[in-house]
Amino acid sequence: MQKSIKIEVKRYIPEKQPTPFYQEYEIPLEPKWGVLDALTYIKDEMDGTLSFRWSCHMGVCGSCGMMVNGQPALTCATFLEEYLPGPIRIEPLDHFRVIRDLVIDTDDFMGKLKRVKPWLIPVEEKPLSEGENKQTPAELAAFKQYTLCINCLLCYSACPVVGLNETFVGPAAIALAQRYNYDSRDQGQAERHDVLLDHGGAFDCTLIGECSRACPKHVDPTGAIQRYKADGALEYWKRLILPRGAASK
Amino acid sequence: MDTQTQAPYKRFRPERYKPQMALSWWWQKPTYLLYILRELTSVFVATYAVILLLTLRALGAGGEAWSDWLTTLQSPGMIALHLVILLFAVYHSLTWFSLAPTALVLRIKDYTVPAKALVVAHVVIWLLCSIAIAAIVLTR
Ligand code: SF4
Ligand code: FES
Repeated sequence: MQKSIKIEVKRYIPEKQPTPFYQEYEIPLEPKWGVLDALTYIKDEMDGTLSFRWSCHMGVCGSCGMMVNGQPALTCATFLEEYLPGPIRIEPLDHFRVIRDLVIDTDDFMGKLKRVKPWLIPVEEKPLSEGENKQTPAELAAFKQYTLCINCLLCYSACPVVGLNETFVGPAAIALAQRYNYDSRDQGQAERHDVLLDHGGAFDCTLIGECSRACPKHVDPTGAIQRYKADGALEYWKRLILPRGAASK
Repeated sequence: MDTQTQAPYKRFRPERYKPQMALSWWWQKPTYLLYILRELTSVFVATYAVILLLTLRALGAGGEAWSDWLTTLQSPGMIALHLVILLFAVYHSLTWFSLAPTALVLRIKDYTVPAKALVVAHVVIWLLCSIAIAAIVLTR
């Protein structure tokens, strides 16, 4: 039985050297450990300078995403057993600026996410006294899948377009835009069209489909983007042909 | 697109390492390679369109030009090229139909038609159309 496993971590310590380097750690192989447990072991027992993000340890907070042997993965939901005999190479999520070691800068994504206005935009605010906004199960089903996104950014790392084109708003942001576009309580489509039809919007997607393969929550951003392209193309022609303001409500 | 909605955090850790994508990125995952091949099919489809135009021109010129062109088409090189084009065209069509359910969500009342059924329906219709066209062309 294998007793230990080698972990190669891509480290970036700006005050030490301006470019990343790989560091190897040989850790005991515990049968049920996740990759995140391995990193925690390294930090607690071997090298306290190693930096990485995590929180829930159960695949819901979306903060522990890293490249594991070249594939974007939630490290709390990826197990050492899957990579025997090793070594396992752990790197920060692809395409993101790195702050330190495995910690990426999410500012750019947060900015993009805000652009698509992922919140309910009703035409007019309903007074509280009129009660709740009810939805039928079918109305909920129209967008429910897109609510499952945990902003883990694995889809951004999986997508070569994100890497090649910095302006691309990206898979999760479009899936979350669609989450509101398909919500019966929302009337913000026109404002989101402004962003998604523009440069860097949905039509920058070249349909590689890797985002949906990487997504741990089966959000299917590929599908969200393709469906947007169909809606967006219609809107584009409406805006071109119809008089101003007549296109989208 | 300007995505900056707030000043970036700079106070204690202003440095950022910006990774560069390797030029060979499409070679690094089988799924990327399959994608690039799918995009490449357009070159072969375009090549076939040119061959078709040349065929029309030869047909318009008639007589010797036409029989010369027919001989050219029957050369081993041309036949090989056609086989390659056929291969890419089939691959193109299959990937196209397999992607259909990403854009098309068919809901009948509360029932969502499964993605597989959509793909199969597309492929079956495609095969039927191909057989019909082949039957018309070949039986003449
Ligand atoms: S769409 Fe999926 S992969 Fe992308 S951020 Fe959301 S949960 Fe993560
Ligand atoms: S630690 Fe929360 S998703 Fe992995």
